[in-house]
Parts: sequence; C-alpha cells; structure tokens
Amino acid sequence: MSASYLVVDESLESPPYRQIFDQIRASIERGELQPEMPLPPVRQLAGDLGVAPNTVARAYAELQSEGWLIGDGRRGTRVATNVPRTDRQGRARTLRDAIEKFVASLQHRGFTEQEISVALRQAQGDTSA
Amino acid sequence: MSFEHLTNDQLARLFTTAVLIGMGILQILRPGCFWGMWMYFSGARAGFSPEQRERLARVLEARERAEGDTDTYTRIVGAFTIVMAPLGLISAVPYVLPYALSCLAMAAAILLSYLNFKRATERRIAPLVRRTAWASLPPLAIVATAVCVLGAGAFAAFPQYRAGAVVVIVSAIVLTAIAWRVAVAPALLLGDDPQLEYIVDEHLRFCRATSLISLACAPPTVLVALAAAALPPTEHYYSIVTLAVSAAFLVAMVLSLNPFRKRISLA
Repeated sequence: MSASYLVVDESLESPPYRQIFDQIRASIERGELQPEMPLPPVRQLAGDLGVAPNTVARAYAELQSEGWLIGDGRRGTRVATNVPRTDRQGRARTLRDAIEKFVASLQHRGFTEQEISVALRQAQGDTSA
Repeated sequence: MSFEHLTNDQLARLFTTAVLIGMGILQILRPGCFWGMWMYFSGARAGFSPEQRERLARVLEARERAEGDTDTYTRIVGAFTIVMAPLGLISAVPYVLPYALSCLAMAAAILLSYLNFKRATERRIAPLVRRTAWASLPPLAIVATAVCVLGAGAFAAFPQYRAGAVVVIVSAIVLTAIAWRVAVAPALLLGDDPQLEYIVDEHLRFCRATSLISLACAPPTVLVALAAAALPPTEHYYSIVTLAVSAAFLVAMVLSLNPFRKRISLA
C-alpha cells in the first residue's frame, strides 16, 4: 500500500495552511492523488499534523475554490474529477515563487546568497548521488 | 490442605487473589509478553526478507524510544496488581474490584505510551488516507462487550453482587472508551521511513484496540462466572445469561487473537 504524506514544518515562513495547500496540490499534479480519491476528514488530518482544524479546513476550502478538490457532506472531501491543468509556464512560475520564498526566508535568518547557493548545490548533489 | 470448609465466596476471593499475584509477578518478570509491540509483529514478519526485518526493526526501535519504556509501565502495572491483590480477601470489597483495577491500570499504561509518543514528535507527518475507527475496532467486539456488560448488569438484581456488578460495568465501559481512543488516535509517524511507519502505526492501532476491547470483556465474565456458580440451579434465566456472556467472551478472545494472525506486506 502506498500513500502520500504531508509534513507541516513550523520553522518555515510559509503558514501551515499554505504548506498543506501546496503539498496536496503537488500530490495531485504528480498523480499520487487520483481523481475521486477521498481525502482524510479535516479533524483526522488536523490531529495527525498537530494543527488546528481551521488550518486544514482553510487549505481544503482554497483547494476547492481553485477546483483541485470537491466536497459534499456525506462523501467527504475528494480529489476533483477534472483537476485544473497546469501548463509548463504555470509549473515553472510555481517553482520560481516557491524558491524565491524559500531563499527570502533563509536571507531573513542571516544566510548570504552565496551560502544558500553552495548549500543548495550540495543538497542537490546528495539527492542525485 | 483442604478447602472444603470454605464457602464459594471465600474460594472465589482466594482464587482471584492468587491469580492477580501470579499475573503481577509475570508482568514484572516478563513485561514484553503483555503489551510489548514486538510481539504483535512476530506473525506479521514471518514472510519478510532479512532486509525487510532489519527495516522493520529500525522503525520499531524508533517508535519504542518515542513511546517511552513500555516495559517499565508494565512492571509498574504488575506491582500495582500485586498490591491490589489482597483487597480481594477483604469481604467488604467486591472480589472483582482488584482485577478490574489491574485491567484499567494496563489500559492506562497503553494510553500513556500514546501520549508520550505524541509529545516526542515535533515534526508531524500525516498520511493522506481516510481512516475509520471500525477498521481497528471490530463491531463484533463491541457487541461482545455489550453482552458481557448487560450480563453483569443482570446480576445486580442480587444485593450481594450489586457492588461487584457496578465495578465491572464501570471498568468495561472505561476500557472500551480507551480502546476507542486508541482506535481514533492520530497517526504518529516520525518521518524517517513514513511508508513503513504508517503500516506499523495501523497495525499497532489495530492490535492494541482489539486487545483492549477483549480485555474489557474479562472482568464482567469473571463476575458472572463466579456469581452463577453460587446460584441455585433453579435460576434458569441466569443460566442463559451466563451462557450468553461466556459465548461473548469466547468471541472476544478469538478476536483478540486476530492481531497475531494479521499479516502485513511491505511494498
């Protein structure tokens, strides 16, 4: 059995609801979450992640408003049958935005551009090794 | 040594006390054979390759560290059981009280290990999978517990068993509540090997909830069995109640063996 997993990192600049939003959307884009697949109820996911139910509810609501998820009372929240198409440009823009936010959060903590660049290259090397 | 001069009640008290002391000693000497998480995987890992066993061992060791020393909890429960045992010899105290209390102590130890784990993990990982409590807590086990509780309740009609019936009903309800709490508890993953950690979490949840709900049936069954033995054979209604409770207990025992039969597969 394989499942997708969510991680909420309190140390990141991005608020927890946004981290949940981004990860669920990414799982759908990668095809790990298939159309019509049921998602855990808000309370279950909030309990597992140790966040307030409102945080998960907000992420679900935004994913629904963007067409990634659908929710009807009895059947709960599911992945939408027709998820929005993400074109190449859109994906590139999402990636660039995420990196810019990530770099900004590190600079905010006092790291220089060069330090971040070296660390990123090292991390990339570790991953590809 | 002869026990002929003893009444049924005195015999029941002696038996309960001896069983509790024996159980307490066993809990202190062999804590792992009660609630240790490794025993729940002895059957499940039968078909594993050496690499898979090693991977499972790593996950279980990490989880054990995070849950705290469960062996110590079991030893404390053992010591508590031994201390409670002589209570059974006091005629003013219902003889099932120390047994019911020791069952509750065991359940509390399991709940405590869950709370420890929750506090031990700062980084929280969640599987995107919908869970239901019924997957960990078979409805048949709930029915069996209800039959045992109602059966014990029927014996409350006799003044001499009323206090005992109240004790076992309360303990069965509390044990059922703890079993439910374990069944719906959040998934606790450390994130080092999330896929296997999730499988382990689900398996442990099932094993512990099923064991707890089966344990909930034990105190009412002990009360009913010992009380029924002391009733005159003309009490046909109570014979039927005793039979129903015994059958329910048997069902609960069979269900409690499920954890040892359940296989897990590693992708």
